[in-house]
Amino acid sequence: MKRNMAKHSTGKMDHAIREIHHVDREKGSCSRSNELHPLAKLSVTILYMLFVVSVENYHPVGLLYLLVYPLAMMILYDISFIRCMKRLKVVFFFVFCMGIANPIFNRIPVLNFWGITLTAGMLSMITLWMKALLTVLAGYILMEMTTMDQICYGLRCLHVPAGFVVLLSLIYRYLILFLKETDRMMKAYQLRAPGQKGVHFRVWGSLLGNLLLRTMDQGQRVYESMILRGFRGEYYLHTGRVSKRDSYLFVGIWMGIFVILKLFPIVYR
Amino acid sequence: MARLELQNIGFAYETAHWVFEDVSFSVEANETVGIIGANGAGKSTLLKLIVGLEMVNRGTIRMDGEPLTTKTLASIRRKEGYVFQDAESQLFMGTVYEDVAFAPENYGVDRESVEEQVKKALELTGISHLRDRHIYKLSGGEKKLASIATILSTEPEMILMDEPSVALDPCNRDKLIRVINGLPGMKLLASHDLDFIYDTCQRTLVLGKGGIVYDGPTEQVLKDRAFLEQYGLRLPLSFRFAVGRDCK
Repeated sequence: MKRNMAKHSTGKMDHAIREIHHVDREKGSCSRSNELHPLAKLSVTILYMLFVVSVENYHPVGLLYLLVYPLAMMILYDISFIRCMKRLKVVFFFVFCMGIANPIFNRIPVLNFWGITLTAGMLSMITLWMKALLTVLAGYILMEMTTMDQICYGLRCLHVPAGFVVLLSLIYRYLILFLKETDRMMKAYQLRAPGQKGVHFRVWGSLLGNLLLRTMDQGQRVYESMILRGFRGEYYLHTGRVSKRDSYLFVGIWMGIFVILKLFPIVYR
Repeated sequence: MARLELQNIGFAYETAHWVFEDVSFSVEANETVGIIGANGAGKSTLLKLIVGLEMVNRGTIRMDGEPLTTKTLASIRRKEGYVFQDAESQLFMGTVYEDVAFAPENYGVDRESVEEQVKKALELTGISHLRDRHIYKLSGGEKKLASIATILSTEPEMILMDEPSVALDPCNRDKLIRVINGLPGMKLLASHDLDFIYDTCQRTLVLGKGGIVYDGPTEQVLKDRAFLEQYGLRLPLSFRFAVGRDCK
């Protein structure tokens, strides 16, 4: 039983690494989303997020119409809703922790809904949840359709400072190195501590310290390899199939929909 | 023609402990030089100094007469290709193509030429069939060849390799030897694998006691059992078991 638990924890790490590689491979193979310029995908995502956060704090119903974007994108680009929910379940847990205290601090009644009195605190909590969910979904959709290097390329097109973009891309690379190194160290530990449940608290310090030093070393070598090959903070597009027309249409259509929904919030009426 | 010169270089990670106290040598174009020595002798450090990942404390390194300083670093690195010991450090993009195209793209080469240079690099290393393969799907040998291809795409004048044969099976090792022997330009190979050095290098430097203790023909030093053992090395297997080979 104990051994199974130990196996399970390294299995999780293996699974996480494979999942990252799998997602990367899928992004490269989806031809429809590859035809869109990364800047188009990034711009629409940022615009959408701005529209979401611009909705008033006590109007959760006002956010419902914005569900059209994630739903349409999932259908159009074959993004699995179930897999999305599975992958984001941890994020959703933190989202639900947000604003949980609002109903306690703000008890002013604002609405009577079929005999149930809704307070301002409840409404602001629900609005906060919905805003967080929608922005996280938009981010997830962008990540499903675009590789990290393409996102960095898009950010550079938007003139985001090179230092910030490089940092973002290195964090992503560091995350993979961190997972691989953790996996290696956990396997080495468990092979020498068979039947032990988890990691003994006495070795937490040295294990974490070693993990940090090893991943930093590995990260340093990857960065050195990048600068030795002329890297100066710029990113390049590797797909030759980008369609300018489709990209402009994509941005235009979504901008139009967002503006119309903002100007004529049908749901309110 | 490219020429590398190291003059009286001294280097220490900490001031009290010199890795090199006074090292001088030069390498001509189209020369393949092996760098051997025991663990900690400074093989990797020497290569890092040449590519400017570490800067010397004293002395000068010149490439084609141009001294290696922080100002000239970019132009000198443009002529060099450095292959890390660990292919995982070398390969960080999604696919083999993206990784091999990384350097020419960063040097502002136009898209068509990038395609051409990538194709050539993959052909030279014999991994054209892996062009669109994801890095994590490659075997150890394929990763090593792919990491060599990543530097060949810029057509460097000088190639530096740190432990190129490490963790390769005999078949991939032979393939790597053929690839290295077929590469043009100046090559510096740091390795513990003396058989590998024998198969690829005409000249060898032996590192020990904070400097170079031998600089000469490879065959001569690899046959000298007493000298090799003095510096923590052993006779290569091909000499140890060869019948009729004259070893001291």
